[in-house]
Amino acid sequence: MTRKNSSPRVKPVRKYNIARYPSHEDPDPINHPQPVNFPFRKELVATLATLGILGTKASLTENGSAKNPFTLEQSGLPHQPSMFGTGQPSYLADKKAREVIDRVFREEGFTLKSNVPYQEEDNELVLDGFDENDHTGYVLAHFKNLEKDALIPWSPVNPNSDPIDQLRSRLQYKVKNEFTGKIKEHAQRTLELTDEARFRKGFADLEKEIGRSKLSLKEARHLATIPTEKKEFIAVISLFDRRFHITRGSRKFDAATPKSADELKKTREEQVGEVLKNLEKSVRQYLEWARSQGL
Amino acid sequence: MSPETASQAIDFCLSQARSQEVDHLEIVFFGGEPLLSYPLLCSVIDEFRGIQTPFEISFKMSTNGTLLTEEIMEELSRRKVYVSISMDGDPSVQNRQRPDVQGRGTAEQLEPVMDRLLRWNPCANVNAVVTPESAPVLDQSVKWLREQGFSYISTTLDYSANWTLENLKPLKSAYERLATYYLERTLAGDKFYISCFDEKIRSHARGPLDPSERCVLGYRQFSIAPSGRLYPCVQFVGEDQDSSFVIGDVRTGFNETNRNSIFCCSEQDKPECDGCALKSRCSSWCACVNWQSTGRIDQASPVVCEHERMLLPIVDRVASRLWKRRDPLFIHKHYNPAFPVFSFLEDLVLSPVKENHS
Repeated sequence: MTRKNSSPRVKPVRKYNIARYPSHEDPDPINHPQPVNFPFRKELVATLATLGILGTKASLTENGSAKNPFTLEQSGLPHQPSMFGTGQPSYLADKKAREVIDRVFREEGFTLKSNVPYQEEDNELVLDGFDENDHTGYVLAHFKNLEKDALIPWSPVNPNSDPIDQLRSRLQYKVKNEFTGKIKEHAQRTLELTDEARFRKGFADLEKEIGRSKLSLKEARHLATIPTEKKEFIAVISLFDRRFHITRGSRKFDAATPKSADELKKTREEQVGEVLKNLEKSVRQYLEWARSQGL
Repeated sequence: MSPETASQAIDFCLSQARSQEVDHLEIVFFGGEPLLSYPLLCSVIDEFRGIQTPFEISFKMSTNGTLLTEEIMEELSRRKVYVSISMDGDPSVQNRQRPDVQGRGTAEQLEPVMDRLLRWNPCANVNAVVTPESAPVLDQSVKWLREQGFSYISTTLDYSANWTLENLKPLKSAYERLATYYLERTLAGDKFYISCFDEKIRSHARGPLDPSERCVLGYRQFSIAPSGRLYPCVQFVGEDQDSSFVIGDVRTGFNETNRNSIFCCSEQDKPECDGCALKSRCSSWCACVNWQSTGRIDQASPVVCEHERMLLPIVDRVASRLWKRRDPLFIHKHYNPAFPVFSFLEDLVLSPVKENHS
């Protein structure tokens, strides 16, 4: 009986998706998404160079030096919104940006999990995407997930001194439109507090709790400067980065002033498309840089 | 094989190649041990070489190496015979699995043979047979063979052995360790071929084998026994006693009824594999492997199935990691059809440069 149980048997595999590298049906990986030079050995390059056969050593050996496109300097953080909007750029919708970033990571072979808590030392936030096997991912900096030191409000809320009605109305709006999960429950409990002092304290506590999952400037700096020897690469991708602004005042836009709502929509879509292309290019460049650093 | 049969075999091969209008005829000498009939082997090659043909003829030979002297190696190289050696791993594995007729280990004897073979042909292939006894140290065996200088390492499971779920477990652990080695060496730029990994990656990267790449049992490939009888594959020749797989004779030609019925039987759909997501990447199409394992050519081998289900995820994880890192060697090895040519030219230029594989 034991022998029978331990015998191999034919068992069809119903689902299999472990192969996360290009198949014969995918675009040619040698040229897609970027050309990959033939990995000639250094000895060959040196030998050919000695023989004078090889004019440019670099063309055989190097792909060009990759740079991190998501430095803190590029991020546009801290950001302070203007009190009034004339002439201000418009920003990519975080959902659209996430779609592009997730797709690029996927195409580059990464399996990202969404909303992954990240905690190191006193840095605590939620990553938009993280590949746990390769310790690689990203956090998107946008209007809704930045702490006050990274997104400086022109009219900061003060739980201790703002009129109580304003605080309540603000919280009610957020419960209805913005908050989810535990934060929503916490906010609802706070709204139930009738005593003013307790409500103000509850409001302040709630803000602290919200802040814990948001990205602060200090945390952005921490992520952007993780030593490469740690082999942990988390890009801080900021929608306040000038490269991802949808610039209303662009020459292209001015040169073709839309004459109808359809035309306006089309122009707008073209502009968004261009910015998304910039974003895609930067994410690929980031992964290339990460690989050059030992990812 | 008698000289007369050998001569008839040559005529038969040439007439088949002409009638099929092939571009290339490949003659592979196998055994037993083909070097036991070394003079005949040379005369067969010379006879082939002496005939003008509209197609290329190449020669391969698989040997256990024990008779591969410097003189023989030199003569085989002069005759452009690609020599492949059968060695199962480091001395402890080799001595246990491949003793000589007196039961003595052959590892020591083969030490100078490896150097000799690789000196004459740095691209020589080594065949390592994996048995339940050697499975737990497969990774060490492959590493050892690589350290001896072999760049082309073929591993083959002994499908006729008594494989159980218990003795397949250590093989899985060995494959996992081998995966780490494969990853590290590839990242280090070390060019090598390990069949159990590279063929499986190939099956995803380049898709299922085209019929033109397969043996097409008895049609594209056939084997000639010392008696002159024809078999669809070398694995069926055995002691040349079982007539059930005989598909003809060099003197009388193919028995088309037998040849066709064996081929059709092997090509039948295997209902036990229906709906399997790995079907296109699995070796269950190989009739001789199925026959060795189940005694039937139309039935998928349970050992093959267990083995493929175990190996493919391990291999795919490594390949996925290399792809993630955009490793140039991985990409060119598996996606650049010109890789073998570039690689060969590189080896040719650098052949005097001694590599450190440690």
